[in-house]
Formats: sequence, C-alpha cells, structure tokens
Amino acid sequence: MRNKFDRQLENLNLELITMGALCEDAISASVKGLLDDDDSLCRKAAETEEEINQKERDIEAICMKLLLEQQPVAGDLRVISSALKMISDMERIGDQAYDISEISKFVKNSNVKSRVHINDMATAAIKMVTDSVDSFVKKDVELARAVMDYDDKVDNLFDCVKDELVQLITLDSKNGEFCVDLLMIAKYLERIGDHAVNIAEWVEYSITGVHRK
Amino acid sequence: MTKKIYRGILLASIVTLITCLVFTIGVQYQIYDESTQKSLKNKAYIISVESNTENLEKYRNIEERITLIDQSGKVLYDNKAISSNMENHLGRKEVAEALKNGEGYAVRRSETLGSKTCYYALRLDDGNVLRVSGNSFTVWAVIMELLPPIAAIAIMTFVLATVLASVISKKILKPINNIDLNKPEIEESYEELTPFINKINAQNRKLDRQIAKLTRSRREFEIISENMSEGLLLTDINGNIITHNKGTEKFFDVTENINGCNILTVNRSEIFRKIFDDITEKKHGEEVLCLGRRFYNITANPVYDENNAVCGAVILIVDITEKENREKLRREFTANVSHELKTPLTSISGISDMLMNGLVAPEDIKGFAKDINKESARLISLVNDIIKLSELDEGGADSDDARQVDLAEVSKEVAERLAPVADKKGVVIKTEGGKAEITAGESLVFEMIYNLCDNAVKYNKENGSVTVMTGVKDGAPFVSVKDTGIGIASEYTDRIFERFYRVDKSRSKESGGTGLGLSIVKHIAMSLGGEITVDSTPGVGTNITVVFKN
Repeated sequence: MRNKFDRQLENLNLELITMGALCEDAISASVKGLLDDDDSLCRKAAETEEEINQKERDIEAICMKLLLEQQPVAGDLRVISSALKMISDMERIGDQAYDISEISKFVKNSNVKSRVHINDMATAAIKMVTDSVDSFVKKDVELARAVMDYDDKVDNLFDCVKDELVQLITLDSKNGEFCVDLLMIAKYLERIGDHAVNIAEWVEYSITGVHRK
Repeated sequence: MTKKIYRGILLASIVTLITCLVFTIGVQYQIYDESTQKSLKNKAYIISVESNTENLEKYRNIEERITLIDQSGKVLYDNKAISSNMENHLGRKEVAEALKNGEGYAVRRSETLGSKTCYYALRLDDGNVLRVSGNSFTVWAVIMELLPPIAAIAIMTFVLATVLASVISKKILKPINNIDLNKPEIEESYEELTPFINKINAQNRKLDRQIAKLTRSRREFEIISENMSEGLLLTDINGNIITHNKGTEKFFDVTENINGCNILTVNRSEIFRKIFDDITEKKHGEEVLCLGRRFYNITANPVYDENNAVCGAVILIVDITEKENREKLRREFTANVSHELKTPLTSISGISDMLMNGLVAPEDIKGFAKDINKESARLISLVNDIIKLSELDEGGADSDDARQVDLAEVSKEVAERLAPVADKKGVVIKTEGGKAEITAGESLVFEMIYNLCDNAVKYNKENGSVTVMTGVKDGAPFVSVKDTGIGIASEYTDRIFERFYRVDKSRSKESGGTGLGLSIVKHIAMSLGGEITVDSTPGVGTNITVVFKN
C-alpha cells in the first residue's frame, strides 16, 4: 500500500518539476523574444503556456486522487496541499510570461528597451523562478529563503525601471506608448518574482510545516 | 541428518530388544513347560512303585494331586478330594491315552487366569492308571511375573541405546559437518560422498573462473567509462538513473551520488523531459543542449529486455563546444571570403560595364584601367592568401625542403623587399640582433616575417619605425617585430589571428590588407612549433614575438 503511495508521490514530484521547468521555458522564451525581437520565441511562449495549463489540471487530478484514495496525514498531506497551491502560482507565471510575449509585439524594434534596466529585471525574475524550482527539486529550505530575500532586488529594479521610463516620457513624448508597454512588462516581471516567492514559501512550508511570518 | 540417523539407530535397537525378549520368553516358557511335564512323569514313576490305596495315603500332603483310577474309569483314590464323589474318569484324555498307550499327557486350563493344570497318567502293571497332576503357569502369568525385571532391563537398555545412538550418529556426521564448502575434502571411508565433493570442487572452480571473468569485464567497463570525458548514464524507463560515470557528474555539476534519482531532479531541460517519449516509442533521440556557454550533444538510445520491450535508456553526453565554435568560425569565414571576393569583382564589373558601353571619356580610360588593375591585384593577393592558408590547413606546405634558415638573414631580405612600401609611408625598417637558426622551409619563414613586417608598416604612423629583432633567448631562437603604430586594445589581441578579423573595420579598404596576414603568420608559426606573444599598447605600438621552443 505504502509502496504504491510512494510511487504516486514520486510521480507528483516529477510532474511538479516538469511544470516548474515549463515555467522557466515560458519566461525565458518570452523574455528572449522581447529582447531579441524574435516572433518565433513569442509563439513558443504561447505554446508553453498551453502546456502549463494542461499540466496544472493534470497535477490537480493527481493531488485529488491522492487525497481521496490515500487520505494522507502529516508530511504527506503538507506536500500534497502545498503542491496544490504551488501549481496555481506556476500557472500564473505561465500566464504572465504569455502576456509579456503578447506585449512584446508592440515594443518591437524600439530602442527604448535598451535604455532601461528591463534586461536586468528579466534576468533577476528568471533567476528567481529557476531558484524556486531548484529549491523544490532539492528540498532546499536555504535556497527557498534566498529566493524570498531576492525579491527585494526585483522590486528595486522595478522602481528603477519605472523612474527611467518616466524620465524617457518627459524627454520625448513620442516614446509614450512604448514606455507604457514596457512598464506593464516590468510589472509582469515583478509579479513573476512575487509568484516565485510564493512557490518558495510553499516549498518551505512543505518541508518545515511552518509558514513564514 | 543427525536426527534421522539417531532415530534409525534407536529404532533398530528397540526392535532388536523387543524381539530378543519375546523369543527369550517363548523359549524359556517351552523349557519350563517341558520341565513341568518331566517332573510330573518322574513323580508318577516314583509313586507307581508302591501304588496301592494305603501307600498313596502318605502323599496326601504333597503339592501335586495324585489320583488312582481303575480300568473302568472309577476313581480309587485321590489325595485332594474324596474319591467316591468323583465321576468316571475314563473320558479324560490322559487316562484314555494311558490305558491305550501306557502313558498320557494333557493340559487343561483352569478357570483362574494365569494358571493351568497339567496331567500325567501312567498305566500300572495291575491295569490301574496313576495320574499325577500339578498347577503350572500360563504364558501370560510368566510374562506378568517377569514384567518388573524386564521393564527394568528395557528402560536401562533404552537409555543406553539413546545415549549410544546420539553419540554414534554425531560421530558419523562430524566429518560431514566439518567439511569446508569452499575447499571440500573428506575421509576415504565416506566414499558415497566423493561424487558430491568432486562436483562441488568443480563448481567452485567454475565459479572462481566466472567471478574473475566478470570482475575483469566490470573493471574494463569502469576504466573505459570513468576515463572518458563524455558523460554516460543508464536510466530505467521512468528516467531514474541506474548508473553514471564521472563525465556525467561534471556535466550536471553535481558532487553527490545521483544514482537512484530521477534525471529530472538533476536537470529538467526540455530535452530530458521529451527524450523518454522517444525512448518508449523505441526511437533514438539526439539533441543539442546549451548550458551556459557550452554546447552538449545528447544522444539517447533505448535499451531492450529479453522480450524486446524497452526497459531503459543509455544516454551519452558529448561536449561539442569546440566543434560548435569551429563551425561558427567556418561559417563566418565562408561569409567573409564571399564578401571580400565580391567587393573588388563588383568594382571591376562596374567599371568594365561603363567602358563597354562607351560611357567613359577617352582621357579617363587610363584612370579606370588603373582601378581595374588595382582591384584585380587585390583579388589576386586575396586568392593567394586563401591558397596559402588552405595549404597550411592541409599541413604539409613546403615542409619538404626544410633546412637550416637564419632568421636574421630572412629579416634583412624582408626589410629590403618592404623598403619601397615603407618609404612611401615614411616608415623606417631596421633589423637588429644576431644569428638565430631554425630548421624550416625558407619560403614559409619569409612569408611569416613578411606578413608581420607588412602589418607593422601598414598600421604605422607617419615617420614611425619598424624594428625586426632576431636572436636566441634561453636556447630558443626568436624573431620579434616591433612597431610604433596604432596598437591593439587588449580585448582584441586574442581575435586578431582570426581570419578576416579586423579591429577597425572601416580601415580595411584604406590599408589594403586582406585580413588574412596574421592568420597566415599564426598558421606558419604553429606548423614550425613557434609560439606567438602579442604585447601592445594602443597609440604607442605593438610588439609581436615568435619564439621557437624546439
């Protein structure tokens, strides 16, 4: 009995890793598409988003089945319930990656993006997603906490980008539309960072059983 | 086995014991019976000597019963009963026999269990019959009588048999129990076991051979897999790693043991997520994975079990960064070559077009012809450089006529050759230093120094100077070309030897170089075993040194 349960838990773990990896793919594709003006990468982000949605439903089904059939307790219950929460954050990351790829069509061939710190922000957001998935894979509480602390950096970068965009608009109002689009992208990246923090928090909860204050 | 032998011995002893007792009792009873009969007979004979009623009276108190019977069967006397009350005894078996044969014997069971009465009848001379009878024990009575001693004997024997059986069985089995199964040997008395021992010995030898063979092949595999720089790993159908080699650890950048982990926990790149779909469909999977700045070629092959079903995968990870970079260089080279060849050709074609259509005034023809000449000279030098390079790529250029060449002499020759060009730019070429001999093809060395000096002149300032220094330092001959030119920024020094690479792309036309000069220098230096060092300060000058270590 326990054997079967262990196998199911292992399967859940692998599915979560896969979903995390899909999120990484989606966000790196959309960011790369944005920075390199590459339409095919934007399309890839859209496809990956579809896949992420499908994965969310799959994992949900696995969790429900586990809860009903095995009636888990203690650590197992924590793992499954945090998996349920984690996938909704991952799904949001996928959505936002897709949104970024949608907007990047409008800021194509504009030199505005090279004049703000959007690249650094994207790198930081990707790093957060990668680290949060890594902390889940390795069950590493330290890494999860590092992700939570790293969020400040993304927030600061967001403020920095915002100021830069405001300055650009005052300098030349023709850039206005691009700047607003870029601000939205920056906001999405900031939200992605928040979701990565959420994932890290669920990782910590599933290991320690304590929510961070 | 001990128990079985023990039980066997015990059973045999008990059966023997019981059989012995039964026969002994039987034989003894027979002897007892006979002796009873004999004693009755003896007594009858003794009594018969004086066998009249009065004489018999004195036997009244003896144990045996004495009866005197006449020929008609009437009892004349009985010492235990009143004779007149007794019935006719003619029907009794012993009496009838005595009357007929002279003596008779009969046994009759009495009512009481365990005893019987024996009768002996003797015909006397007067025709009367004298009968003597006595009580005797039956078999059961004898047995009952003998039971206590028999039981005592039986118990004693039983105990003795138990102890002996145990000791004997242990003793028999001791050599068998003490056999060392790794090196079985047995006493000769156990010849029944010899086939087993021989078989075990043969099996042991076979096992030893097989283990040695397996160890050797495992060791071979380990040596191969551990010493290869490629990563090799074996997984089951679900992607759980069964075994892996050192190369894999380097590739995944892990230090802990990853056997038993799922491959996705180690690396969750798309390729590892998709590869098992191919594997389950019995397909071979191959993909290039980019990790950081390095490229890896990942090849996965399905592993089949005896039922031809896929049971796992062998994954080979090869670092192809070098190859990938070379490919990139080659692609760039091809693109550059086409571009460099096209530029002069376009000019020539354009000018000749104008000439052909008579669009050029006769006095300008000379000027255009000069342009054509210049461009074709450029093309020729470019093609020459490319041919030179491809010869060097082939590796065997001019190495046949290798002989002692003095670098100083060649330098002087080069300086003379370049003097007119240098004069035009107002650059002075000086040669310094002494003799430095190397073994090489002279034309190669000339080419190398020529290219170095040519560059030094081309990228020099007005009234600058080029110094060619030759000599031997620490036993290694060297040549160095120092200029007072524009210099190269440190971030470009690695790239200047690439084909068609130019630090300042806008100057290519002006300086007239092909972009292949330093590439040729590098190739020649490499083929002669030389080492190139670049020491340059932008705005001050460059010093390129080639040292021939061997």
